[in-house]
Amino acid sequence: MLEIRDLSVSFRGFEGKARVIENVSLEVRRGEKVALVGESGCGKSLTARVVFGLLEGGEVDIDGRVMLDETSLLPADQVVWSKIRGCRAAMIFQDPLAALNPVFTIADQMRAVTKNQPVGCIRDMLERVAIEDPDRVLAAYPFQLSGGMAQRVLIAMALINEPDLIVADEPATALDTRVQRQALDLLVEAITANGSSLLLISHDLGLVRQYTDRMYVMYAGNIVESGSTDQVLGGARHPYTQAMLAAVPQLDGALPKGIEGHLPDYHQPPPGCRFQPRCPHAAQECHVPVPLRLVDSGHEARCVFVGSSDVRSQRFHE
Amino acid sequence: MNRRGATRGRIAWYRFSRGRFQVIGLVIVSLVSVGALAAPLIAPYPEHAGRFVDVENIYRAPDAQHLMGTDAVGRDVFSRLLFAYRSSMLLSIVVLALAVPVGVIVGLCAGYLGGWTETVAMRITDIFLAVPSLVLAMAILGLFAPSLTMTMIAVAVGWWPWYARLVYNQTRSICTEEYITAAHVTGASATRMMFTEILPVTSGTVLTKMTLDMGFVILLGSSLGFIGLGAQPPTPDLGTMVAEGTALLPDVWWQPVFASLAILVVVLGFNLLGDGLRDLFGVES
Repeated sequence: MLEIRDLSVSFRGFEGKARVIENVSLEVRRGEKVALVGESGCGKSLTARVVFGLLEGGEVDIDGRVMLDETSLLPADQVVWSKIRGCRAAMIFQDPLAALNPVFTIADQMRAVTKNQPVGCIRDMLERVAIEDPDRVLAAYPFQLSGGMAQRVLIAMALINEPDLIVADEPATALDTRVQRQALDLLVEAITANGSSLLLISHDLGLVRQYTDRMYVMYAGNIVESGSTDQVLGGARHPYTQAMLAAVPQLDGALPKGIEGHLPDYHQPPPGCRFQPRCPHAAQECHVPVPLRLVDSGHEARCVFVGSSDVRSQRFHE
Repeated sequence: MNRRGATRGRIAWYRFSRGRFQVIGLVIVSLVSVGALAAPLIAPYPEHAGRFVDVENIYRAPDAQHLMGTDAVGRDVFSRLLFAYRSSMLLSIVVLALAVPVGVIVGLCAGYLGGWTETVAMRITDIFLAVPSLVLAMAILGLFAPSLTMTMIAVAVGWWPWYARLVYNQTRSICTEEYITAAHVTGASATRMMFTEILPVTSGTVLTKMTLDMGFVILLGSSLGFIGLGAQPPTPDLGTMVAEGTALLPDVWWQPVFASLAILVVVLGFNLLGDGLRDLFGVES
């Protein structure tokens, strides 16, 4: 379905080249719900923007391969994009109210997205995302809607052309947790019903566990761990994934542990493993580039200690 | 839908009518517009608008028969002012009708397409902006025989760059909004992005500037008239009427004073109205 191979993105600037994404490979199969997680600034949204061709032009170099089924999206021309965007792939944004044009009613905006669909279809779609009075919402301007309503409208807009792939970039993070869950329930339900695929970009491991089949963990522009959601969250092997899990507040009242330090400077990323400056297990071996190593069937981690008999790999599981 | 439309209109009027000054502006503009449109019907001496001489009545001070007195050939100043408003308003409307579409399209394309389009379009705009409108209009009128039509073209040539600049800046800032990215990923074409996503968002600002400019174009037209480059006699023109009377000040004060007041009132009216619309649309100046 969606296949990203060896994607690298770098920005040219005064201070030199910022290698923000390096050799990212990622796959979303048909009907699958995949998560891409990582802290802010690690390149998750950038990856999504590349998929939709939103980065072209300017001082940016993009390498690699992005395929949606048999169509290459990198590079792609206007003819290709007009068939992809909004039809075969749709995107849902973080702040629902910012993603709606303030000077048009919802009806106008939804009509612009749908190609030749009768108004009845739009109403049905709004009802499917649990909007009880679609007529009022259709006649309303974005500012007259609550955040939750606007999020549902956006979900309806993304779903209305029944795309094969939906990329949700931190959906509803601008809203409160209850409304966010509601919106995601609706989204995932509709995606499952349509047989579409979902790429969920998030830093909320709770959402990831609840809604996705597989996940990729991204750190500083590298995929550091991937596998089925159960494998990764149940038996995290990369120190970054482990640290992220340790940062989740626990119900027993224990204070979560944060991760010391911050993201590396993309102009001069550390040699080898990019997480090594913050890693509690860092050693001399970490200064050379590490490939993704197989942990288990379908579960990979980019760490030198994975799969080796070194004592330190055992220590991870204590 | 209809009922909601009416409600929206009422809300807009409610918000507009909160400001006393903009309502005054609206009243002035309405009165001037009605006066200009119905000049042949309401002017006491409609025949005085053209070639008319009444040697008996030259330089009559204002009285009940001639509210604003008479001019050098005995024509009623009040009647002529009403007709002068006609050509001034026509000038404004035609100038904006020519300048706004050109400026808006240039600004929109430059702002959205960027690259070479932007460089070429905006540098040309800058060249036009570097020359004051009045000087540019005088230069153009100097090449041709002055007439109302030529004045319209000359003013419009100097006026579109303001709209190009305004819409260009607006477009650049609107393009960074997330709803534009959202429209982009739903597969909107460049034309649709420009004309149905971005342009409507700029409409409030453009409409506000147009209202303010109605007054400023009248002012510029009057300036051209004052130096003899406006509508040619015997057609009444606000600027020409001020100029004709200045030689005989202060004794024969009525023609220049009332003509000046006429300019003041209409420019003030459009300014107040424009300020009101600016608040209504939430446009920052």
